[in-house]
Amino acid sequence: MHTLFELMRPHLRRFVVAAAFGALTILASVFLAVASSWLIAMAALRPSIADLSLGIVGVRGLGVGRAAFRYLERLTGHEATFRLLADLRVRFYQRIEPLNGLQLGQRHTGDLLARVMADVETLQNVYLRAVGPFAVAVLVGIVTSALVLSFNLAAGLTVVILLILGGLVVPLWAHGRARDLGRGVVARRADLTTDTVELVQGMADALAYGVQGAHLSRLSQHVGQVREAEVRLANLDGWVNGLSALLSGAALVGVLGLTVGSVGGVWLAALALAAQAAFEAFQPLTQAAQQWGTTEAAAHRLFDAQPSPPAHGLGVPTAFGLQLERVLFGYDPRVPVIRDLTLDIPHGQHLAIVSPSGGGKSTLLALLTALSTPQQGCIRLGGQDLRTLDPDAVRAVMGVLPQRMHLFNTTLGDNIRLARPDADTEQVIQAAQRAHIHEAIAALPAGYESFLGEGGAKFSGGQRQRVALARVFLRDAPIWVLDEPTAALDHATAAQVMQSVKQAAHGRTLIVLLHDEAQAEGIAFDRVIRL
Amino acid sequence: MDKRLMAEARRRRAIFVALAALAALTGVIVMGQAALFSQIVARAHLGGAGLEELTPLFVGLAGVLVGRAVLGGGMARLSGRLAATVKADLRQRVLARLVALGPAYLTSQRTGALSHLLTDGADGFDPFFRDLLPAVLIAAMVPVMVVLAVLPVDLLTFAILCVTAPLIPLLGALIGMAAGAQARRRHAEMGRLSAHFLDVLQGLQSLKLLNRSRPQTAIIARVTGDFREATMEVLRTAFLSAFALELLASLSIAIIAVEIGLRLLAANVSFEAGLFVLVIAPEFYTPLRTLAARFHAAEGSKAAADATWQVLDAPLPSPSPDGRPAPSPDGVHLRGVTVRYAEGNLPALSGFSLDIARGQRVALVGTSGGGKSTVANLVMGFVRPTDGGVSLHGQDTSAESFDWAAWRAQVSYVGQRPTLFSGTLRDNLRLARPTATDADIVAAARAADADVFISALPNGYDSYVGENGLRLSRGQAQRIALARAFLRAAPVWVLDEPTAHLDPDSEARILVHLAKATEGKTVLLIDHGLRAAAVMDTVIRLEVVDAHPV
Repeated sequence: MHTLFELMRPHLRRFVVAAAFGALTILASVFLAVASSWLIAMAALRPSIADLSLGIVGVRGLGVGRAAFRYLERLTGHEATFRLLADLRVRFYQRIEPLNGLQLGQRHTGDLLARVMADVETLQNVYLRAVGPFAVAVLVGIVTSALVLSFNLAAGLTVVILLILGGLVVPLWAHGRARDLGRGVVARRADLTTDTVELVQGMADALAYGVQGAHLSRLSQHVGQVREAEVRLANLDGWVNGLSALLSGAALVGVLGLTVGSVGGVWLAALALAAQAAFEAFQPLTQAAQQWGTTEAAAHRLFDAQPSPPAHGLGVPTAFGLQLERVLFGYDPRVPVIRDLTLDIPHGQHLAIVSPSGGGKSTLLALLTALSTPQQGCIRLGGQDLRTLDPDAVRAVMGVLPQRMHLFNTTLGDNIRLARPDADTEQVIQAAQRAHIHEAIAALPAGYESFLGEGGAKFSGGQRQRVALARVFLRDAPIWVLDEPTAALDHATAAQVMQSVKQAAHGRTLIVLLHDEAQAEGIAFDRVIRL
Repeated sequence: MDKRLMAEARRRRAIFVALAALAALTGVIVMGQAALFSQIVARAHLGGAGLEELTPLFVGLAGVLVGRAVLGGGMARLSGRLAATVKADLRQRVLARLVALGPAYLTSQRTGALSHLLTDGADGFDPFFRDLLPAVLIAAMVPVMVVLAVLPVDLLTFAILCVTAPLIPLLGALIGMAAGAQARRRHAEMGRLSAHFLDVLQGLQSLKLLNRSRPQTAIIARVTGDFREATMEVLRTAFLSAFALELLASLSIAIIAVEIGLRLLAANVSFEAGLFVLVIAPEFYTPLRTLAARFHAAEGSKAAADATWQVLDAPLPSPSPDGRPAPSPDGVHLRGVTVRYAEGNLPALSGFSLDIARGQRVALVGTSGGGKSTVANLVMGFVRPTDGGVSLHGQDTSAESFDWAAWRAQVSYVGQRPTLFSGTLRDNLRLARPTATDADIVAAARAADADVFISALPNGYDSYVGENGLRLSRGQAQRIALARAFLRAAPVWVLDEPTAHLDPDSEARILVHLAKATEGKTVLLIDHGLRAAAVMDTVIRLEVVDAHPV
């Protein structure tokens, strides 16, 4: 919540203006009721028309004013809110971006997506349904109470009490009731999203093993739970609606009853109707309070529940020799994947590291590229501890092919160009040629402008891998780290690809991670080590 | 009003009828409230009546107001229940449909957009059922009653109400149409924003490795900025129409107030009647204004409905009408099969035929991108032929009666992208054979060379794996998928590059078990190398299909 209010601050002026317009809207309503009923009550006494002219002008002006103020309130309030939401999404990304692989790996992509989409959307209620209406209600309440008080103390106090009941007591009660229900809805929703994403992405395996039914029934349980939570919210909504209507009715009857006989007849209807009209400002409060629980839970999940990002070093690598010193790492510290690894890789050396699958290849890659940090020991780049260097600067000197290189929902050309945004078409094509993927791309109807489906589903695994490899060729970095560059390729293609990797890597450090010593045969590595 | 949504509401008859009855009662209560209030004020103001004299009237007014509160609360409660019920039902239907449509439909759809549809997207129905529907019922009943009540009292007000009344829906409809188109655009933008975030989140590590993760902040700022502008554009139109309507209503009331005041001066109307008209006039406009406002809000429901019925109405995968059934009696047979994933694309497979006799083990090898995986997908029923026919164990798969679930139940399958579902490793293995004992599971894991790494985990077989098995390497995930295949020990095996990410020692160990386990079974093995193919009976080379004329 704290982060949220902090993010609201830059837009404070817009929010204040919106609240002012909101208060003017309701006050125009209140005074329209006052002016019109005063006008009629006065006219019934048959004064001269001149005595009515103030009322006539007032009624017309307030009629126009109410509509105009409402329009301005909506426009400014929404503009400010959507600016805030855009900031929230950017801030959320900035918070998760520095997280390392270990921290990110513990989170479901579906869950993160639910946060940045649904939770942020929920937070639009913070101003539009909560802070704004509250400010408006306070202003309107003060003015209306003062108006009635100036005529009759008892009636005025009745209005104050009823407004406090309607503006504070009922909303707080509704808030308390809705808070648990709201948390339930948001959490059930996240379950629903996570399981949906999993089913949609794993549909092939689910169908193959006939578990789609089990998955569906789990999902329909989530759907049922969401429904139950929403029905409970609807019941609460009914209660709150009824109570608010009851209080506004009480204001009407109360003020009328207390002013009969003590206030001049021309003001009787005016005061009662004004008190009732003021409740227009208080109705949104109970709604806001009901939704506050949902809103708060969303804000909590969005910001407070995120692990804090690791501290950033500031240094920039100046030399490219790599030294690993007694490096230890395990996702579970009791079961290290890499234990006591010591290695010296001078700049320009071509090195193959062979390790069976699950033997820590991906982990080693993450450590070398500063995506993860060793739990013990240290890695040096150009003599400097990686932890003292800016991870972004470390990765800037590396061309990396991890096992799962993501291809983005953009054109093939742009996917390759991601490695070097200023590269021209010529350079992109050259990189693709070296990765032996140029022909496959050129054969597509749209060539390099072809879009990849989500996850690049229409390119085979081997083709996707070579697109990712083309990125490395384009990168032109002093250190290359390639994890199984030819894993999904047939023998002939694999040999060709390795050949061009070796050639292009001349003068660079080349670290190739392999699962099979045989893969290193026939390639002139300076050194082959087994992990 | 969206017809499909209205039909959904009517299907819940009890709630619908109850809502209509409460709306009608609301009209009666409104009359009573105005009549009692104006009588009290008139008698106090002009007749000088005191509180004691007016007590019965006050009691009546209080009773009426309590009634109004009960009606309002009841309607809110019922319409909220209706919205929750319909949403749950639609979510279930969409999910069931997605499963029926299968993986082929899903690859062409964006996962982000679909999960949006099932969560926030479905919330788009709230404005229709929870807000618009009760407003429609109230607007259909209350204003008519008000007009009829005003007619005998004040003809001029009656005329004003009658003249302005049609303007409200007219204005609402005119501007609503424009807003509707834009709301659909906003919905599409929302889906796009969601897909963008999914793409970025899934590729975050890749972005970091390419030093593009921080510059991505600027792109996200731009994309969210565009989204804000699209949203505001929609809202500006909606607000403008709301302004026109509000202006019409409040000016009408101002005119009525002035008109009554002037006629009171001329003694053309009684004070009580004048006040009654003044108090009841807003009750005429308020339901219509509320309706118009909620009409805009409910435009989002139409967009959600479009997205929902797009899934519900999507044609289930079916073979091409001119698909020739393969005539073979037994085994797995493909005849002249062409597969085209999308109109205008090069075919992934073209005029391809393959025969695997029952009990024959066939390896399909060839260069990457030659359509080998498409063959596996055809046999699994994930893809249907654009042309040609597939027959499995003597049954033509293009027949309506072909039972894919029954077929898949007798297949041990390893796909190219093995998925681990949320749950323990044991759960993930057991799904291949729910009746398997722990010993069976360990045996299958041993055969797939997975037992060693699983046992090394602190929780062993009870270790929890998340979405996409994020904490397992690809080779490990593949071995789990293989263990599933071993555990199922089915008469038919479909293996799509089952050892692509394994080291040779591991691969060799697994192949020994694979050769033994598949003896006498019908096997289709896809591989780019020859090592795995060597344990099969027949090796077929699939050349790149690009060369074929289309």
